[in-house]
Amino acid sequence: MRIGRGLGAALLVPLLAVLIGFVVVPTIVLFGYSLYEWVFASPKGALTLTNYVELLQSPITWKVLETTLWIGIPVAVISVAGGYAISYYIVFGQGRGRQLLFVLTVTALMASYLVRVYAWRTLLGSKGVVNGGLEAAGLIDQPLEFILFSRTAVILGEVSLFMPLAALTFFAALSGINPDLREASRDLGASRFQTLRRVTLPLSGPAILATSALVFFLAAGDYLTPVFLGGPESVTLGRLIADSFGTTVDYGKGAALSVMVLVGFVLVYLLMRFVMRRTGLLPAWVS
Amino acid sequence: MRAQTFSIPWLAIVSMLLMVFLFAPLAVAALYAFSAVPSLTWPFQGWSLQWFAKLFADPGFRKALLTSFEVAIITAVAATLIGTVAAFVFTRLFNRLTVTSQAMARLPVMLPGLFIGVGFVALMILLRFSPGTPLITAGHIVVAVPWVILVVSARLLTYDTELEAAARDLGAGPFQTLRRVTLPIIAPAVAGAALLAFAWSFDETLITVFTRGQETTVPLYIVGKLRRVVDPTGNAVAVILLLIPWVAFGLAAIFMRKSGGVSAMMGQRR
Repeated sequence: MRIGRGLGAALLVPLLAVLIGFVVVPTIVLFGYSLYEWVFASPKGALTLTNYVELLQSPITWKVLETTLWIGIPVAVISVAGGYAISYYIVFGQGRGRQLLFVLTVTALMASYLVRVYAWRTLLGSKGVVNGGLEAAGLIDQPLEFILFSRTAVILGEVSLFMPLAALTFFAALSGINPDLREASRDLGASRFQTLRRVTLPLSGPAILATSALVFFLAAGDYLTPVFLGGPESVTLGRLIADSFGTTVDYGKGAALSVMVLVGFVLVYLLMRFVMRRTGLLPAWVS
Repeated sequence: MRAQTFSIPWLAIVSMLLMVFLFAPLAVAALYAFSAVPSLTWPFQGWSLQWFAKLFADPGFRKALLTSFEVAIITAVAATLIGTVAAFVFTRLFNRLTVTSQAMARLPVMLPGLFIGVGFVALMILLRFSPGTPLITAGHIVVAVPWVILVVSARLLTYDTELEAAARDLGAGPFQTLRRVTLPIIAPAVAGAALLAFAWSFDETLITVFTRGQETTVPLYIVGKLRRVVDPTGNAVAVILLLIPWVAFGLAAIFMRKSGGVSAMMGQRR
């Protein structure tokens, strides 16, 4: 059944209304609001770059950026490496475990976002399973207080959030690889590692790039994990933005910081693409 | 196939260990929801259902549960209608508008919920909207629609369009063809998409924090009341919050079994 131009456009009206009305326009409004000073939760005066200047001059911003990188980079690296291993086994491995592993990965993705974070508290609490278990085994005398409410806990929590997602994006990418290419590489005498390094990884380069960037971005924007598992020092950019629209009611700063993070993300993505091109993980002929 | 049968399956072991990493916290948290004592201490001491009883005795929780169901059902219906119609267009008409719209429809998946959430705050200030159930639902529809499009498009791309041509040749009009041929074929995928949208909505937290106003949903019940308190009622909520989306997702997988199952649902065609 054919759909004509006019009918097609008409049928897309509801979708576009939702996307433009609730995503595009609000983002533009947010940018606009970042250019005003805010007094008592309403914009005042004329257009100004004060919010941006103050944020860039404030040492807090830079400290928070540093924390965000110290959390976001390990989370992205571990999630991508783990996700890649899982989907590599599902797609190229042998044995009956593969189907089970796929179902488990999807089930993990569909497990509640909040519960995946919250669950770590039962495990890591000062008298929780990890500490209690270690104490019972006589390995420690006092609970390891540093486990919960720390950067480590935030990293663990966010990895459990984003690894299943990473695995499924790689699943799509790896099943798209022509198996003949890998076989040819083995036939020509390449070792398994060489085949991975020279054939499979470059062919999945765009997926690795996109997934690393996506996971980093999602980690930077996740404010629940730092609140639930982090300590006072684990304030990330996401948490700072969420706070400025919540408890601290500083909409101008929050809006400016949101814009800066969104722009920063695009820059990070371009930088990663450059690095991956240089290291050969993303040959120009693939993307 | 050199000596592979004798090598240790490292990858399988690593993958399974990663699964333990993903599921162990969930299993432990769920276990303590059935604890007989109020403290979450090791070792586990006895079984009881008192934390569930305590939870359901709280009118605040019952209200939150009701709000979550209400929002998730409306989201499922609206997102499925919008997404299914869009998937039809995206799989049959290719021009600048449809390609741009399709790329735009992926935005809510890639944008962290935080930015959609603060966008809603900006919108509320601009239009003087007050937060509450309608805006919570709007936020959920935004994140559910891309998944509906993904699932329904996957089905529309794999089924035999010759069937439609045959119906037309036999004299059926376009609406008759749609109603008697196309819709019955894609119905399981559409039902699966609706259940997936329901599951996604039931769990949505990142945007809802900003659109809630005075309302509470099940995830926000944990966020609000149990932020710093560790008590098995939180674990009882966690069990409910795990089970309801999982059940919806399991039903979706059953509906779609004949059309490629879970891998089709994840946009994968084999």
